[in-house]
Amino acid sequence: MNSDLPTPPADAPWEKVAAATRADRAARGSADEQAPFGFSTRIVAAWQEIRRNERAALWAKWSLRAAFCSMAIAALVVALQRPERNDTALLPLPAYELP
Amino acid sequence: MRVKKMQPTPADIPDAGWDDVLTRVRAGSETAARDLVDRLYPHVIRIVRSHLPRAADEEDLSQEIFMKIFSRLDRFRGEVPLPHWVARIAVNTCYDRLRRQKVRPELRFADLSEDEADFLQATMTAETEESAPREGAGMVEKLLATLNATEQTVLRMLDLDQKSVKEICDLTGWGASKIKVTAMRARRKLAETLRKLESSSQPA
Repeated sequence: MNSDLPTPPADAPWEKVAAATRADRAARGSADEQAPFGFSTRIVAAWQEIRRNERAALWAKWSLRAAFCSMAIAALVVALQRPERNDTALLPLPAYELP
Repeated sequence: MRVKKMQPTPADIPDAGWDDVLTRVRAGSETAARDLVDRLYPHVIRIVRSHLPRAADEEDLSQEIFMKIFSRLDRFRGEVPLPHWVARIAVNTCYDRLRRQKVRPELRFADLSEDEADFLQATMTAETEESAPREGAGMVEKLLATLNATEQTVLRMLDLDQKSVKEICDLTGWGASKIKVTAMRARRKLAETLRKLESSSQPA
């Protein structure tokens, strides 16, 4: 067992079971640890798909923001170009010259 | 007598030009990405197999781990070796999977198969750890399934993979005291379960 912890008695049931399991694993060795056929291709395809989607989502997000900004600027321009209130004031009354 | 350490630590994996592969993967090279998966797969699958009870989920979980690796690759700054960083992701993903699984509250002798019952009886009567029988994987998985995810993760790494407390701290991000307390509690629970199994296996 691990030296960092108080060592349990060697005949403790769990210690025996764990030891047997370790021995079993060691006997089995490290067979078939290579990636199954097509595994890496599948992972990479999924990753590329996610990247594409992320790029598309990013594009959509910034497009939306750009659209809002454009509308805000357009509204601002329209507001600034409105005629002043004074311009709409009544024209001076015509003056008559009496003979 | 100790059984030789079975699972290589991330440091055991030679640094075989990870920087070059990572640079190419970040640049979007599919060939480099496939190469990265092929090279990391043995390391990841060993962690998955030592944490996951059911072999059926093996590929699914490995896939989830690799997707996390790729999605976080831009955040990898190289402060630790790549295999170590990958091991942390793998261990945490396995831990999350264990947390989603139901804890089996109790293990009864009737739940054991004939082979597992034989294994239990032979193990209990073995004089030393070395004389205990082999092929008890199924039995061990059933025993561990009675523990919660944290206890399972700690015991698998401590007692089955024979990692040190410091290594477990590095991999899980948990404190040493939490690991020690959890291990002691889990071992006590298992000892109790085994005692009950042993007593119920005795003919009346």
